[in-house]
Amino acid sequence: MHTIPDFMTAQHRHCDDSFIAAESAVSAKKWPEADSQWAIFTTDLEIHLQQEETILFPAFEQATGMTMGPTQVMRAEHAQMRQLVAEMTQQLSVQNKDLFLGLSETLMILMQQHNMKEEQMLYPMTQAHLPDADAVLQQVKAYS
Amino acid sequence: MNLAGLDFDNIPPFSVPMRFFFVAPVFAFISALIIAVAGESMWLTRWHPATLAVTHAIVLGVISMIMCGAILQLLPVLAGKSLPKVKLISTLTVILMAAGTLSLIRAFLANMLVLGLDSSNSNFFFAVSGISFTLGLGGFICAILWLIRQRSQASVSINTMRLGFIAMLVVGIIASLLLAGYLFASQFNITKQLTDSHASWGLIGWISLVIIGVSFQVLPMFHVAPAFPRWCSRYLPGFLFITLLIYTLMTLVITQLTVIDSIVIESIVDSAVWQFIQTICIGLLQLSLMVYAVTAMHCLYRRKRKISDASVTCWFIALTCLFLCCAISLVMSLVMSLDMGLMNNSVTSVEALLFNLGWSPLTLASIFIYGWILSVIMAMIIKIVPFLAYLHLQRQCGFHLQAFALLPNMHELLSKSRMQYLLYSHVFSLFALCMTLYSPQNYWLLSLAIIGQFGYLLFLMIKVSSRYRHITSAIDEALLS
Ligand SMILES: [Fe+2]
Ligand SMILES: [Fe+2]
Repeated sequence: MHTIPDFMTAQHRHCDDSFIAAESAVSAKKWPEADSQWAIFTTDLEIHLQQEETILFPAFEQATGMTMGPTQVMRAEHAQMRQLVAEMTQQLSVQNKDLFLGLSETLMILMQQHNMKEEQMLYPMTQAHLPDADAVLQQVKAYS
Repeated sequence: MNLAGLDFDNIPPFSVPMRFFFVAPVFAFISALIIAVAGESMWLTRWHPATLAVTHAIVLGVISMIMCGAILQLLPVLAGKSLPKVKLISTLTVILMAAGTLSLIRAFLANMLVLGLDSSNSNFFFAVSGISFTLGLGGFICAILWLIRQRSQASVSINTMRLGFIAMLVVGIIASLLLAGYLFASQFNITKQLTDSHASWGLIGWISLVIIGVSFQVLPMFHVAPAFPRWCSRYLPGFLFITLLIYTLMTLVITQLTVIDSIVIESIVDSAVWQFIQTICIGLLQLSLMVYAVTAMHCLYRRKRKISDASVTCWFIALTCLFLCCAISLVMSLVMSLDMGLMNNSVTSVEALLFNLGWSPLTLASIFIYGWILSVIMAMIIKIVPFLAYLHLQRQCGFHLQAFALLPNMHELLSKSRMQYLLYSHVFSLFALCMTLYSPQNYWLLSLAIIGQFGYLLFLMIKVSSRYRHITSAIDEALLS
């Protein structure tokens, strides 16, 4: 956990766990369990997105001078992820299994391809280009 | 690291991969037609003109076609790179590949009297197909290789796919040698022995390496499986590639020995040594593919997302077929080399038993192509098509959240039950293929099954595309208002 890619990638895996737990609870119609796992997922995801938007992306933009490039695409995808999460929270509250699962399939794919781009390209570049990568990582860890 | 090349936003339009995907079923229909017309005789030997025509129609017209479309789409996500002028390049590639495959089929079929084709101009069609593939597929692969010319340690997927692309170029070179041998009445005399190398580079080098490379990325992504162990993703593809290379060099040495028939080389090393090294290479290829199959199954089995999914089933079928193919041929070659050494009767009976069960090089190739490769293609295409449609619609919305509300979810684009039906139709085709291999009189069942499977695939793709177009215009309206 000493580099930005390691730490942030671990967070992605961590979010996957509660997401999948919630999804399989819904598919088994175990609603109380689905509720609690979903609450864990949405909290963790929101913290992660904010860490990126308020600390990591600005640092990347400053170091590389690319303000309209990759980070803008990432921010747009964050907005869409939030939108889907909100819809799913709504479907969970009315216990609509089919719609929830259709949306979860969608969020899954949106999130995975987003994470892949970050893990394969954005995080390693951030680590390589920041003059003070360690300090930024400490800032990220302190954020919650 | 090259920052300027990083381009998340520039993914090719939905129509770009789809034009490759839409052409593929046409070649499946053509194969089914040839199977129906050729009847039982084509199942007796792999050198039958119809067998060669069908193999190339499936491998080039269906499999390579779909792979090229998928590669174009995966590169921006995997490498952050995309081709310039992608619409033009992809259209040219599709047209040239389709023309090349059609003329190749026509050239092979020229020798079949049943069809009443003029056999005198088959040379012409071979030449046309050679030129089309060099320009179409060759040009396409070179462009992609140029795009990913920078090596990066991070992406094992891209590194593996790069080896697959280089293998495709080797397939092309060997194919040109074969073609030259055919057109100029084999002045080179390397034809038949090189056919096995040609097939190995095509099926193991090009197709399997690209699939393996993609699987390193796609299995963890679509199914939340653990990453492949490092030894597998780092070193196995390179090992496969080098083993293939040594195997082909040995073939060349052996053919050159017989051609030159000089004492120069023969006096230094006995030709049996070359043959031995070649056999070892084949064994190593089979073993490494088996190792890959087991590793991939293990990863997939430990996937976190256990929700039922037709594409996971397809992957398991594919990997099982790959393992069985390699295991049985490994046993066969062990038995045969033992047989030569010992002249043991009991060993011969095992061999005879396998042959009686219909196990031959033709069976091996058929199961490898339809069971391993096409199962993966099915697993990928039912994930990729709705995913792409969604990805593009989502891009179109940008930050506009009212437009975002118009987006369908993945199940609305392609329902789970339809994916399941496609899986059943694929399994049925596989079953019909086994029936036909066992007893060729069932060929009509296989022909119908292929038409059914790819007809249904075509229907599903048309459905998703029309849905896509419909929603695109709805989003456009929302963005304007
Ligand atoms: Fe992100
Ligand atoms: Fe992230």
